[in-house]
Amino acid sequence: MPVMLRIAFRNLLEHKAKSLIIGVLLALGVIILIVGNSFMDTAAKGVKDTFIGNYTGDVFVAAKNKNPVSLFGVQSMGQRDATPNIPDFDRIAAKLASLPGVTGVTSQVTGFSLLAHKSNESDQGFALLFGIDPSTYYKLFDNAVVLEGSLLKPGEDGLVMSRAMLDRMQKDAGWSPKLGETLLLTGMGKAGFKIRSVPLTGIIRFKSDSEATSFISYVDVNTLRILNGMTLGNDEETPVSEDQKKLLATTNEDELFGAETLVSEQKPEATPSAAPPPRKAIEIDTGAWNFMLARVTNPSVAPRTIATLNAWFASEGIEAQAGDWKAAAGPFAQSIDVLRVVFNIAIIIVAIVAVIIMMNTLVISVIERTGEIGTMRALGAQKGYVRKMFLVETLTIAGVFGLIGMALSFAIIAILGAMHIEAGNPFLEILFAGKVLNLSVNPGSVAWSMVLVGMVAVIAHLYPVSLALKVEPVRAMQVE
Amino acid sequence: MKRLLGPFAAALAAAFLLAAPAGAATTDFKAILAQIDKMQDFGSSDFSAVYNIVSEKPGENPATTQIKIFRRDLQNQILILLQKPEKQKGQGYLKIDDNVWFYDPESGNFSHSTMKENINNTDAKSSDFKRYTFAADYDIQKTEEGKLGSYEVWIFTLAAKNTEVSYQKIRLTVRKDKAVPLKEEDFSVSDRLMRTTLFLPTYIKAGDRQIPAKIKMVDELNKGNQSVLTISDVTVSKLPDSVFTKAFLERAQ
Repeated sequence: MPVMLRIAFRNLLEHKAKSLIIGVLLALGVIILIVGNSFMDTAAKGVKDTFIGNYTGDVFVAAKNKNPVSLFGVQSMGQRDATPNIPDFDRIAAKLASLPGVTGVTSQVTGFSLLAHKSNESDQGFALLFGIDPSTYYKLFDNAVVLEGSLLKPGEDGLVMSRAMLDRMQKDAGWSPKLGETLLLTGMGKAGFKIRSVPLTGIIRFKSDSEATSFISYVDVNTLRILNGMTLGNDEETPVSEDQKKLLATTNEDELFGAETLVSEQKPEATPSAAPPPRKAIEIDTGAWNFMLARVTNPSVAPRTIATLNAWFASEGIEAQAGDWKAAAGPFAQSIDVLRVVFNIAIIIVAIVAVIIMMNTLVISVIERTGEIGTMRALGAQKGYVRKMFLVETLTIAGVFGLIGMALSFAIIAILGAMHIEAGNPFLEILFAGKVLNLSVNPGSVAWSMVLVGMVAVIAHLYPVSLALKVEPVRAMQVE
Repeated sequence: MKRLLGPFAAALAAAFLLAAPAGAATTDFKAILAQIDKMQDFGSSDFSAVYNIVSEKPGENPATTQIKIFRRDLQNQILILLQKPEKQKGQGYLKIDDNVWFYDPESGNFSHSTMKENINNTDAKSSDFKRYTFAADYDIQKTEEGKLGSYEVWIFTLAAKNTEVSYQKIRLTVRKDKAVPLKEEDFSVSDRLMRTTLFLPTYIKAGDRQIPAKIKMVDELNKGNQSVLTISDVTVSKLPDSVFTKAFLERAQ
């Protein structure tokens, strides 16, 4: 092998320009991969830490549903699906709290509502509402700084909104509520429209504010239960006539429009009555929750806890599901995955282009060396020897320039760190996993980048080698 | 402001007081649309009716909603009162000109609303109970002849003139013998069929008008979701002025 290496280095030095082209390409590839992956890893960690620490916890429990359920409701196309309540809530809560490594559990209800002035219903805004149990929620999520008023207190009716949300309302709708002002919340839940008035009891700033999460407002859970229609005695059976059943079942339009026109007389009705029988008083389902969230001692405990819970749900026949922070964050967690997919697609495109350029350069190199290869073959070098020679050359160049690229990547990451680039806005703070960009190098990503670059080089050399092996020794020597 | 359109209005358009048979080559299609608009406008008389809406969704039991509608077209006033199910009894909408309020009897609060929301998870929207303005809001793109069941029909393809209407494209199937809609297909901006409404040829005679008594609505976006509406207790007599007030909704509690 040392002979091979010597030949490889000699050939690489002999064809400096071509070696440099291929080498620079490989080094650039390594830089893009290492620095890019470092950005991706940092952003993923930032989003993960932000969500786990502020909104989702490590373990998320929701009722099973045909569509994905996240902390922000049911993700479905074209219709508003009500977020299902957790079945067997008390048993699941007891089970979750008893699992090793679980440090805290809280519950939540999620809903959406219109916000309006009590005195002027036409001034409206939109809010994403988290109905929480303040006695447990703030122990898990120390996510807010109180600017005015206070956080929700157990047993107190009220609404807590973020300053960012209020500023947005002021900008978009021309008004925003003041502390202590009574607001009308209009929800569209299972029981249709519901309106509740609640005072604005607190104005906060989220510690990791972002455009998306600033929409979150906290409300006492019973108010949200009413807005969502989470009330007892809702599901009365109403009779459906045979005629209505038949109409629902008939899909054939010829059948529906086959009959002759039928006109019936209508008895004139007296003045409409404005006094129907009194309605039953509303009874809130105080045990109803949409989600359970738990923190664990160590992130590595979370997958085991989730697996244990899901196995227990299956064995007990409970229609619930446990997931990680990604399941809870739903569309927000997917954004970082989408970013990574886009990055990977870009890498694949760059790799294909690099393979083509390298292949071309190597082909030219092979053509230039036709005489040399022919002579070697004439002197008894087997095809395997020639193949090995080119492979060693390719791997040598990949190794040398890969290492150069790696060193440059580390230098770039160090320079970016030394520059103390500030996030400037909350969204970048999440992506930077802090207020300042501090990229970390993942050894796995570095190893993978080197392997990938090596693979690109090997793939690129296959075709030129096949050309080299087709060279007839006699003809090759004539060229020389 | 242009009015939103809706199949209920088309249903009311079937109050074919002045219905006239349509000829073939010399047919004035714009006039047919105008006739549909005009004939469902109750003008100086009021209108009230009870709608029973049975909604069906896959995997769920059919749910019944009963609403009572009061309309005074001359003053652009509508009051919708929910009577069933029990949990929503007393909820209502009041529309006066361009203002729409929703009333929640449990809290006694009014909220500004829009007429685009679906009523109690049915396939009917509150805007469906407004007057129709086909001729004003839509251009006729195409007309075809066809047959629907045993009825000879004109099929209008209508394109919205403005963005204030609920649907940018409608395919409206109208009886040839009378300017009465039998079927309305509502399309999205991307030309996707959103909802089909069938006005069955069963009518209630109220005064000198005939109102479709059975309507079927099919949600084309969410397969299996459909609603059937049956109409009863139709009146076209004068309603008290107090009906079209917030106080009426509060009293109805």
